Amino acid sequence: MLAIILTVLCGTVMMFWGLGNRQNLRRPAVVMATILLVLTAYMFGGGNDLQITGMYDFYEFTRERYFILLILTAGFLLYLLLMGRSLDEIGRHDGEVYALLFFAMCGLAQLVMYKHLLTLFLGIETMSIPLYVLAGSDKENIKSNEASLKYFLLGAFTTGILLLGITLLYGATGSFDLNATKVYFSDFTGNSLALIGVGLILIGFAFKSSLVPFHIWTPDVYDGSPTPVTAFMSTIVKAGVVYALYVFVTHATGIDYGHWQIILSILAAATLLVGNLSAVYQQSTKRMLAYSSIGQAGFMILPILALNGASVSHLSLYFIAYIAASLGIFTVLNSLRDYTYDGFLGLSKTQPILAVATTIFLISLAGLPISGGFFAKLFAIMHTLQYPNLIWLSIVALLMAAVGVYYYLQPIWAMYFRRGAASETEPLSNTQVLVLILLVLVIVVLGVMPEIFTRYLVL
Amino acid sequence: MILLLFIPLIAGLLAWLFPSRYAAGISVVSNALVAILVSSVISDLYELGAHSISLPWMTEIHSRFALGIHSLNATFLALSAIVYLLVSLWTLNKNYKDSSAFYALLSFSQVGVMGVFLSMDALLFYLFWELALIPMYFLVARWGSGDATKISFRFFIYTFVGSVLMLVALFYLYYQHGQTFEWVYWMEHASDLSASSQRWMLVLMLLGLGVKIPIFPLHSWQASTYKSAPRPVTVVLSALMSKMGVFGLIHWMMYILPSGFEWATPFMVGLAIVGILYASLVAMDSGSMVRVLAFSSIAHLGLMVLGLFATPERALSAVAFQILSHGLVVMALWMLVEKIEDAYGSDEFGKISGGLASTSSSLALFMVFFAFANVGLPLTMNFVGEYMLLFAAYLYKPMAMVLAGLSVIFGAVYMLRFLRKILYGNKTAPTIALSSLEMAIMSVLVIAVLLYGVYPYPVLQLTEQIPDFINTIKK
Repeated sequence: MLAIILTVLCGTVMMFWGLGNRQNLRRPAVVMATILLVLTAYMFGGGNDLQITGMYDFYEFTRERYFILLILTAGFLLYLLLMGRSLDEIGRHDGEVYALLFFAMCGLAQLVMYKHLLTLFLGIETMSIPLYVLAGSDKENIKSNEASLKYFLLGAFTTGILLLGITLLYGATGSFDLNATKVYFSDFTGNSLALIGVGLILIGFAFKSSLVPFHIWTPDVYDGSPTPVTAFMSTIVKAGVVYALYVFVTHATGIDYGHWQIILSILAAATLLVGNLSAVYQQSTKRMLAYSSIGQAGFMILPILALNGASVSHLSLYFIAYIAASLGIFTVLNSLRDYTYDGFLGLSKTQPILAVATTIFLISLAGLPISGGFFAKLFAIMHTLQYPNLIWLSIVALLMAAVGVYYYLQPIWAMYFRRGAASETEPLSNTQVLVLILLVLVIVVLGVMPEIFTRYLVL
Repeated sequence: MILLLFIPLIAGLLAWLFPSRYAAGISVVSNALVAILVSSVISDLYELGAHSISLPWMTEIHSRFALGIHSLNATFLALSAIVYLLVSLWTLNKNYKDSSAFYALLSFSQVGVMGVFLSMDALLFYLFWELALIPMYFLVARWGSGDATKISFRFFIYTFVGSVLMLVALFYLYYQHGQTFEWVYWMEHASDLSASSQRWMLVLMLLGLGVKIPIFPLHSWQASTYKSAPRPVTVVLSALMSKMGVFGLIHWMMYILPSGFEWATPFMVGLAIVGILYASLVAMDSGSMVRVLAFSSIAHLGLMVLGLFATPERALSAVAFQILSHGLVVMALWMLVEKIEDAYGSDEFGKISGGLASTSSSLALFMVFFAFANVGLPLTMNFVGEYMLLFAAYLYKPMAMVLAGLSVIFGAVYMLRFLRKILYGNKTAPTIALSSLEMAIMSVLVIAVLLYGVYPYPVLQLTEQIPDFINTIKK
């Protein structure tokens, strides 16, 4: 509860801070994110959370939830450290950007903690509305405006669908509480109202986590938004939404998940195929990352499909590896002037250390050993294989992992093997270099000992 | 045992961090250390028998960091130690651009290769299998000649797709065996698996292992990759990496999927024979030295696959022996080919004027020796190995031996043609001198090939223990 309140407070503070002070807003933002992280860690460690009477029914506060929140807030802090300088440059009113980011974090915190369909809706909206604005925060850029409008129109429409799904499900179960839903589905005899409701809610989730065929907005929005915003949307936000989907699926389906497993597995397969195959044809690194993040969402669905005791830990491993590598690669991208693969030309000569870091990020995203991404993909795929009827999906996933290697290696090619004039880069600050080194360490350590973080989940 | 993995790893990091001029030296030292360790480990094996270690690694999915040394992987380990040591010595006086990265990648690939041979845990095996591949990709892409990026990419996609299919099979087996990756457990309970699942898994595994070997229809990446790769990398690919596939065939397929293995026998024997004959015929008509050697490798490895599937119990020790002899001979041939290529700037027979026999006698002498060894002339190691393999084929079906035996004749044809094109004829050939280091390397290889060709007992003593080793585990 504290996290949800605190993010709102931070957002409000940032908003007013921005009124008087135009420069260097990233420092207070970093301080607040650190406080947020420390508090989340404290609560994860068993500390007392602030409890508000009556809120018990809306949220659930367990170790698992705190762990996911911890990953997201840690990612957020690193994100601010990496992107702070560029965030300061976006738009005219700096305060807005940070305030909106914190509000979006508030939405994510609700999504991670929700136990009630209303808080689910609230969380999705609290998260989305700041994102609509953020996507258009580069006001003078027409692509950014287009991204914002597109995202808003489609997003608002999907919200309607989600809401309709929630009401239909309510009509069938008579309660918004997820536990009641679970009870209802545990001896489910077939009720079209409930099934349509679940289906529509799944569509809402599919849109927010950009699963194919609800991904149409993603490439344009990710491409048009300012790069730091894209980095936020495609990492932290995506992880939060996927976790919310996991929570919904575990509660709203009970034991018999035959109804949704087929839907979700088709969505996952389509996402893997479209995301990865489209990424192959992209010329711009940013667009490639947009499509590849669609593909990555497909992999994240796999542990959800497996739905066994280890799902959460595999999902968290995937989140950590993916957020670390993506934040890293977006930072590098942000420092480049040229967003085609040519932008990476000669990086191995001009900035050898940065080039090695980039290589490790890309290797992790591609899922090659020794990197966190390797085990993340490995576990994801491994656990779908225990269902004989999902073997086809695992094979699709493996082949798409191989396709992923192709496009993730493109920048590495440009850096090391292609000849051409070295392109310009903005120098990185010391903070950024330190954080990048930290991320590389996290990825490599995860590549050798994948359980190093997730083992705290089972304590 | 863990040192076998850590020495190359640390050497790789050191080579990478230190200035380029130290890289070759670091690599030689580490490879010498590894070679000493391997030889001591193998001599222990004669006295003490198999031993293994097992450390907890990933507790949640019951995967352990389990390594083992036994009669099955002894020759493979010996071969990898020799190949890497001699390759690093051979390249000592050559200058590769950015040599620190070159040697670092080479050392990393060594970690992968060693790990593949040592692993007793399926997940660990897969990890090392992939780890061996990635440095190779970069080595070919960066230091290769011609259209290296494209060729290396094809190589990568072929092997990567193959290995992910293998991964599916490994995971399936993991669940079938009640969530364990342990090789010993898999082997003990191999008969619990249903016949149909064994067949399916065998097909998936074959796709992964077959690309690496390569088995006949999966070979199309090979010749171009061998040609494009820098020669030291070609040596590793051809003399060593192809043996990873053979090792997988024995260690991770024959014992794990026994009834599937039997089921596949007629098909695989047929495929191997077609592959042997096809590769020999292509080699006979090839226009370049590299293609002759590449296709001759396919033929030789095809013979190993044939023997293994035809009569596994007879062929086992033959294969374990033959990988050593093929590795040594083919390594020497690639090294000599590199010298000739350097002199002519090309490996095409059309551009090579011939006549090296009169100008460069020591090179020609070694060339002739290894070419004959490659054909399987008596007194060389290959003779012993090939004879045993053909015998295994005979036990299965005499016709199989007759057809496969044609490869020996074809081998003589294409190797003699190969010698004629480069050694005889024209008298205006350039002089190619071998440095004393190169002479020493070649002499060591000649001695090894002759010694074990005449007296194969020390190696066979080891490889013939394989069935005993398996039986002791099964009890």
